[in-house]
Amino acid sequence: MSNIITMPQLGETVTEGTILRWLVKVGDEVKEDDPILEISTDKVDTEVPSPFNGTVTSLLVEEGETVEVGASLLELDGSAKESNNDKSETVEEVQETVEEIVKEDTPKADVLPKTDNVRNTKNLKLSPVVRRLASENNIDLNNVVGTGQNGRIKREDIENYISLGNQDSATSTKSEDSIKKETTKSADTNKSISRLRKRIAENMVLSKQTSAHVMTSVEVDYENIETIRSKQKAKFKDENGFSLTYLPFISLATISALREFPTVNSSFDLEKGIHDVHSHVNLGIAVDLNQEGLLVGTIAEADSFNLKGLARKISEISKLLRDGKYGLEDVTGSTFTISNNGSFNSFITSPIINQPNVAILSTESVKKRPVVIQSQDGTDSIAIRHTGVLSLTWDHRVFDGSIALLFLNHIKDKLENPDWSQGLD
Amino acid sequence: MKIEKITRKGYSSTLSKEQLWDVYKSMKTQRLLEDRLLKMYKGGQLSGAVYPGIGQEASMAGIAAGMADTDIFGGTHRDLGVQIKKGVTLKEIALNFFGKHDGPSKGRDGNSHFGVVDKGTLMVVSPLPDSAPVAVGWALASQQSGSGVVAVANCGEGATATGTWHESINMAGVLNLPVVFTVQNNQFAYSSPNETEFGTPNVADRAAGYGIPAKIIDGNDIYEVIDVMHEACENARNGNGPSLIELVTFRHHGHAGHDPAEYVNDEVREFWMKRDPIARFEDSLVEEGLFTTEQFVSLNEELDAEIKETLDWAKNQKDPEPQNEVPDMFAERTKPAIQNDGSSKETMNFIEAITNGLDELMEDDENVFMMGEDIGVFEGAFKATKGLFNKYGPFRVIDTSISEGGFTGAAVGAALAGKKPIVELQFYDFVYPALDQITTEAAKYHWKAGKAVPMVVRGPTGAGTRSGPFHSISPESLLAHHPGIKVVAPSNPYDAKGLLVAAVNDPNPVMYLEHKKLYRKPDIKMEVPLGLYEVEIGKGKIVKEGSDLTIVTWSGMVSVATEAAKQLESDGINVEIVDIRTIVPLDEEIILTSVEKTSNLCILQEDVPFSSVASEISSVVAEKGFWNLDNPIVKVTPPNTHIPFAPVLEDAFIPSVEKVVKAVKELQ
Ligand SMILES: Cc1ncc(C[n+]2csc(CCOP(=O)(O)OP(=O)(O)O)c2C)c(N)n1
Ligand SMILES: [Mg+2]
Repeated sequence: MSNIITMPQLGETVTEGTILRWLVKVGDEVKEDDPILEISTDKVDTEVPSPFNGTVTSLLVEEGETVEVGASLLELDGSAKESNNDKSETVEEVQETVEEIVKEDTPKADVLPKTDNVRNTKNLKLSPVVRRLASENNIDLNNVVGTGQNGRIKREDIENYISLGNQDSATSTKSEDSIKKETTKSADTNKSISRLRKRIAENMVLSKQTSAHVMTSVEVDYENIETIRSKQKAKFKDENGFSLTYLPFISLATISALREFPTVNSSFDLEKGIHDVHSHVNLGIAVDLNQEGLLVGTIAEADSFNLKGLARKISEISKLLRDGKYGLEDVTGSTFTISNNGSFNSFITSPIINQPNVAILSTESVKKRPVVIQSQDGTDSIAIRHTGVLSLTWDHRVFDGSIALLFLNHIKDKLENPDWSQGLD
Repeated sequence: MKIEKITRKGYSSTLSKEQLWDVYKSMKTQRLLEDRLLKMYKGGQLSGAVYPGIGQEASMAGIAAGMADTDIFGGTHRDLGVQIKKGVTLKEIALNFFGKHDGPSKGRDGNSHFGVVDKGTLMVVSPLPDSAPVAVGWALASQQSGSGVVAVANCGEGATATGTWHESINMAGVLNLPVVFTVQNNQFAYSSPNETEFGTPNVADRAAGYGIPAKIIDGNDIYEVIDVMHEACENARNGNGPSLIELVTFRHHGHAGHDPAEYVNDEVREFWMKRDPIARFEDSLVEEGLFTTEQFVSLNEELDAEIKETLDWAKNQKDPEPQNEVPDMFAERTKPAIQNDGSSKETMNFIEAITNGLDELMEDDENVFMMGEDIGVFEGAFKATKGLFNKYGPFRVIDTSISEGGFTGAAVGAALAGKKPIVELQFYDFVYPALDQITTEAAKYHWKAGKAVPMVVRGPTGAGTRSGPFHSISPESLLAHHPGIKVVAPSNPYDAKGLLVAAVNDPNPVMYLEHKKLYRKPDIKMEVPLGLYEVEIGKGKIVKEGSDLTIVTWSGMVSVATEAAKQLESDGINVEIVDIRTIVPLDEEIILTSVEKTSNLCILQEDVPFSSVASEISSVVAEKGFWNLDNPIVKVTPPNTHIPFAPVLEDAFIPSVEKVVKAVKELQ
């Protein structure tokens, strides 16, 4: 067995030493306590006695070399390399155990799941507890109103929010409210995107990517409707509590057209190869949320209502959506959608189809306009009439222009030649 | 070379042939062992250090041979020879040198820095001569119980220049304790000769200053050492008090393995080599016809082989395990907690509760005793020991000299000897001179020597009494920083008594802090159970429940927190107050649980802020309660300054109710 003689630590503060002179050479027999070399440290110059008996098999450092305490200097009875390796291995082993122990002893930090909603979307300070509660309860912090300094969300804010039963993975009624407050508050240029806006944006892009949008429009003479409306207006409002607008008329005419052209009342899944023609009309009405966003309310089985019933339904759904008191069924399942752009004084609009519908009708503003009228005797005259455009965006993947126009003209005919008073009784 | 002859005269002449052989063998063992260790060290086979006592074998073996088996020895790095003669084995020594698991210090200290208390040698530590007060304390315990044990406090001549040594020998003189002070004057303290260490011609000349007898003897004459040592021990044993023996001797080697001792000139060396203690002993043994040179030679061979074998064996023994380090810091309490049905109570203020606790503890267990300045007839600077001197007398309510290091160290020794000492510091500001004993001895005994040290150091803390920078400190952070000691700081009479009882029954050193402003504070008077009861050390208490913010505090600041909470309540902020009561070990759970509830944390302390208990609590909550925080943690503390005297300055220094209210309101 070989023995390695190492650089002794000659003093508490000594870290290295210089080999002054070897007193033995390879092949020499040395006895225990025989001086074998002279070394010099910053403390002392001294002879190193051999701790063992044996034959010198190798000198591992040169005279004049400075080595660290513990470095191998000389080998007795063996191969230097082997023993060297032995030694370094043990050192590593020891280090490993120490590391392991240190690891075990270190308390594991609570690692929070990273979720998108825990992002600091308001540019506000979010404390650790708020971040944790948001993450654990799946809360979108954009929906939580902060009552702390500078609108900071405090623990109690998020707890109140949670105690109201909020969980933002499902549709939230609170969210739009909060968004309202939020927008009025921050006039910042770099306002962050609300969840609703995000949803709208995604839906719009998705629709544009899905359908082959074509817009077609017709001009409608509403004079007859206007006559009825002006006659009934006051009475209707008194009886029903809401105004009689053009929309119920247009809706009823549209339902009639959808019955006539069921292809327009369908869903179309190219990937699955399914064209689903719906037996009922679930009429979608786009409702503007006071410029804070847009939702489509659904009137299920709209084809079962008369004019008055439909008018009430449209009024109800709009209110429901604006008040944020709707349920899931109120905003899903439409088979065709009407977007009432006329109420904002549009001339012509090319709306984006509300997926998975295959067409969307845009009602445009109704105005008094000069119109050339041909009388029964064939003479032309100019008259002032209430007119407006109806635009239809339709999916060219599903049908062609002919159906679109036949459909539009069916509506136009219904609106221009009515016997409308029945439905209002 | 002509050898100076020695002859047996006193006690040594009564020793049998076998006893003399034992002494000789022990001297020879020391020499051969240290010679081997020195060579191994120089050959790079031994890490750490070697402090050879070669040349001083007669002093060492003689000191031990003059002592009774039951006597206790407190020594230094140089005293392997004494340990060997006291019965410490080669195996124990070898294991310690290699830092092994089964060695006397379990690898926690190396070389000759260990003791085997069960064999009568106190733990050896580096700071010199820190085992001296411990030996004095053991002697004190011996005096109290009449056990007849004598303690020997030994060190080199250099170490006698320390305050520790003066305090020890002075106390022993004043209290007439059974201690023998031995000083091995080996001519050098590291490289320094006698002239640079003391101004009297001899170390022994100083004995007059302590009113005790002294002798200067030839430390290389084994017979003289045994004779004088034996006489001194028996005198002490018989109630004649302490004495000092200066053993004049010489170390052949340097201070330690690395030191070639070039500062020793040739004449000095030659003078002493002629007086080699082993050669002189051998010469006399042969001359007396007791042993032959052949016997010496064959013992030499035997011992040499045994030493090598033992060292080889030790090298391969089990290494210590890092995971034991933390658990071994404290001795485990086995005594069950004291029960009290609380049926009889009395209204007490804070200091009355402490006095009542001290009284009942002393009545309950005769091992409980007190030490401190002016605590006897005068009943203490604050009257905490009122009535106790009259009841228990001067041996259990001991007035000490102004020697904080001395009597705190003595408490360690008394505790090791089976007593339960309670030390009173007149003001906790004077813990500084006692810190060496608290941290070097008290805190490390269990960890390094496996012996429990049940002792309490109590005294007044805190500012607010216009007492200036030296009578006002809050020492909790200073103390808490040192591993191995417990620190408690009650805030009301009930906790004060309960924690005092728990502290005295704890097997570890406990620092018991009494805020002096609480002593007679009328509004914290409360009913305190009569009879012993305990408040568990390491358990905090919610003193007021709340939901919005947690104030963690203790001691004198609890009432500040309570007042601040009242004011904050009117602002709609509902505060929870946690009185941690114990600083070490810290009740992390109660803090973290409260913060989990409130999410806001204010730490209120009277101690200065840097590197303090407040910093530690803050760090604990940041590390373990981070996800519950709703605001940054706030600390309300004094500025990082000393405590000033002028009322305006002192008032500005101490955290006030207003500061707490303001800090809390600033949270978002
Ligand atoms: C309080 C303290 N200061 C310094 C040292 C460093 N030191 C260790 S041994 C020593 C010399 C001690 O001399 P002496 O008391 O004569 O004992 P000797 O070593 O000669 O036996 C010194 C200065 C120490 N251990 N403790
Ligand atoms: Mg000395």
